Amino acid sequence: MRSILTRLGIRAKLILLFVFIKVIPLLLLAVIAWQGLIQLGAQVSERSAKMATSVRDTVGQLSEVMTRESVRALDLKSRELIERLTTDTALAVADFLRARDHDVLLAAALDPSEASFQRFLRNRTRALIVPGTWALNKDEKTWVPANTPTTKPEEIAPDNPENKQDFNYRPPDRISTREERPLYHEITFIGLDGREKIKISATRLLPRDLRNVSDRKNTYAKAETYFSELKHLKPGEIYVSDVIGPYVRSHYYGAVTPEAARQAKIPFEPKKEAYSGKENPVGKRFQGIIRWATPAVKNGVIIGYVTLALDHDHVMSFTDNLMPTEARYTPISDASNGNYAFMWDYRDRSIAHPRHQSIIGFDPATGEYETPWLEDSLYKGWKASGKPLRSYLAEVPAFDHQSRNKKPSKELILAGIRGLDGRYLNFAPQCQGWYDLTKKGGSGSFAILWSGVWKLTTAATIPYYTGKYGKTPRGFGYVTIGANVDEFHKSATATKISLDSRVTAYNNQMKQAAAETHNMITSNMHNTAWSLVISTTFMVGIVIAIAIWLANMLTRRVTQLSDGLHKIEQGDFTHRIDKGSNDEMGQLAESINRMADSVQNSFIQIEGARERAEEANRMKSVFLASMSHELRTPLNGILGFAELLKLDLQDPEQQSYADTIHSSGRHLLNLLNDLLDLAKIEAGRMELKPVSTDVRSLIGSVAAIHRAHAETKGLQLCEKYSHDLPDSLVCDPTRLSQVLNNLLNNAVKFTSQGIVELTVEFDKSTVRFTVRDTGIGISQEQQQRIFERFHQADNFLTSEQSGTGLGLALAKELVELMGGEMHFTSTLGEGSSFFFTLQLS
Amino acid sequence: MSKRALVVDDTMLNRKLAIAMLKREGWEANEAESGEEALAKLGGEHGYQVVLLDIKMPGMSGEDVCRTLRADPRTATLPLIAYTAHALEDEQENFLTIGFDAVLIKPIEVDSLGAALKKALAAHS
Repeated sequence: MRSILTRLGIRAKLILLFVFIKVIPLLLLAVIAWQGLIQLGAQVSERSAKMATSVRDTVGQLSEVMTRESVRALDLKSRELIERLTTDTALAVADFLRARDHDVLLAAALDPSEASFQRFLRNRTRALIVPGTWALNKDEKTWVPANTPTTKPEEIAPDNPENKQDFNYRPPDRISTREERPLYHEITFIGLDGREKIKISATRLLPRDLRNVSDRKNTYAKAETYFSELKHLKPGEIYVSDVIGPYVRSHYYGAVTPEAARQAKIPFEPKKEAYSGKENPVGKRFQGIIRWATPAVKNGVIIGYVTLALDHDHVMSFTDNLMPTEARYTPISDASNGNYAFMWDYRDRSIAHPRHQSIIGFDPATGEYETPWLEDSLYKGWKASGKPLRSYLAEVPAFDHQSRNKKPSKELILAGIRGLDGRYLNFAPQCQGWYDLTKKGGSGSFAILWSGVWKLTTAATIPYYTGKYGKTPRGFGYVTIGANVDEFHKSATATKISLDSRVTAYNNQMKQAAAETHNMITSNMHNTAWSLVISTTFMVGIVIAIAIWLANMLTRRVTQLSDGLHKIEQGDFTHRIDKGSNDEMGQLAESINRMADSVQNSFIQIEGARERAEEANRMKSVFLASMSHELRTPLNGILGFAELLKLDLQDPEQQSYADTIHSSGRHLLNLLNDLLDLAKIEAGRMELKPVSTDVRSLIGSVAAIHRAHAETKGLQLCEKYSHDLPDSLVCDPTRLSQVLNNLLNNAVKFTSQGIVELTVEFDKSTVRFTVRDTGIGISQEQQQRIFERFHQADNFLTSEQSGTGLGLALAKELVELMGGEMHFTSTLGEGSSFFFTLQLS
Repeated sequence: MSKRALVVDDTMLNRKLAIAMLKREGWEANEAESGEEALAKLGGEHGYQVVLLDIKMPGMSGEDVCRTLRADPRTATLPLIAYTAHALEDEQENFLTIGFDAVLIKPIEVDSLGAALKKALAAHS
């Protein structure tokens, strides 16, 4: 991080700083705004959804409650109406039956003669609604009336507008066909011996011949046993029989159609099957009678009995044409729609039913009650017991755990036997319900799920207590009406459906509204998000642009200064920085310019001095070269001819003069050479030429030059080498010889007795040369100045030890040029020791 | 036949000394005052075994003369000695490079002349 920061320029740092303090807060603001927006959107969405749900629930509940209450209210009202219809019917039946009591009493009072009896019967008729002619529909699935009125009944509107409100008109019943039918099949007068004395028949149902009715074989369906009862009657007492008639079978349960016949695998013969209202309007009807009888008294003595055989159709008519629906009446009952009425006797045996196979009847062959429709286990129990039905049923409890879950006997179904005896109809629990309602002579209702629909079922005791019917509070029996509950609250259900559809529509509306709201919020959020992004990006862009501009502005000056300094540093001393402004940067620029001025001045001065120095040096070199050249020409003449003279002259004195000239010239030449070398060293033009050199050989030849001179003075010149001295060393042999020559020359020159010793020591990369003598030594005063030039010059001509005075100075310079140092130790009168070192590369 | 040497120098003293010393050594020596004169004397059948040639002369310098002689096949192997007061070592090196066979630094002595002659004559023998 630190290294990155140090690598960045001020400009980049400034931009980063701006971005850090401006862009990050901007982005943070944008993020916060965005989050707030999302939250707001989510909350609004949630709230609106909640509100919609709550409203929907409320409306739904309201509708639910309203419907429930309406249904309940309508059901209660309907129940009330149907219960009333039931009790009214029961009362009407009872009234009708009591009227028959009056008839029989009246008949008994008549003079027992055919004429009077005929008169009696003539007007005993009653209108019955007859089903008319029915035929199988073309589709063969239903039965339809053969003659249907084609014209629609006329609609009646109220003439008076004030009656317009809820004006409800019912057209007259034009479908039903009414037929005046005799009330009684016959009237008989029976002697005390049981033989019929007089018989007037109104119908053909019963035999017209006079019979002995004490034998039941001679009675209707061999089932009448009334004569034995008559003996117990006192004058004025009335006997009323059960409903007696032969049982009519049907192999169908439901519409009698070719299709049903195919399914049951029986021939389609509707006329041979029991009449079943609309399900089989052409079938065999149950033809029942109820016989009334009372003693005929003459002079206080019972002389016989008068009987009336009531056509049971008249009793059945009370329930057959009843509809517990808006239709109110029907020309023909229909058990299939669940709305029908029926009648049961005081022993819970069916005596009036839309399906005549349901009515308990007798087997005309035996005169015994035909087997009722038993629950399966009961039937099997009976079959297993092997007992006669009547004695078996006497042993089993009535209404034994009646339940929908029990099943009817299939064997009986196949036999076409479905007579209903509520006591043993254990798969129909409503039988026990009816019993409960009527056992004390009361009425009422309950609802029961039957054949998949909820039915309201009512029961009302028929309060007719004549004869044996007076033995229990149940009287003649009871009327029951079954009604499809759904019918009652049709309107409420319709309302509910309407409400439901409205609620659904409302829900959809709410959903749509919620969806629209959601979409609106989403699109709004989308737009806002875009605006946020765009504005943030725009602002970030502006901030970055400003940051770059500011950073540029600030750093441009620094960059200018830096560039200017760099140019000056590169040597462009004439470059000056634009001051720009009077701020700190301007002042800095001014300072730099001033500095550049002084640097430039200094540089010019230095350059001038350098040029002058170089010029002087060049001049000096040229001068030296010229001087050397110019001095050598005269020296050539002096030295050359002096030598020739010295060689050619014969006179010793003249020869010594020539020798003096020659040696003086040589001295001058040496002086010139030394000066030239010194000048070259000072000018830096002395170049060393290091080569691999055999040091022992070099020293040997140098020593040899001086040995002759030393020996002439009686001196011993010796060389010493350290044993580890290498055979060859890299050095400049010319200059090393020059130094050693100088030192040995001085040593021999200033030593008059003793030795001159040259020692070479080697230590790693250093070679140390020492020249020791036992000469005159050097005084303390002289030691200070020994390396000065021309130190010896002051006495060079006067002293016997001739020298240039430049030798030691030159030797020291050469040693230092070769990277070494020269020192000496000396004691006056005892000798000197000069040594120098050389660094071997 | 005697040994013949040519001494070329603009200074009379130098010519005289060199000739004296050569004669003492048994040489027959002639002289030339300038490079041009020297080239004239060395054209055709000259008979010189060695030439002492001064460097710094008016007109043609000794170096010019050396180059000219070395360019001529007839004198390409003629022993040449630079007879000069230029004592600096690098100058001496330069003379050997351009074609001189030996360098004789002024002031001369009998020994140094003898050594130079010996070296120059040995160079082409």
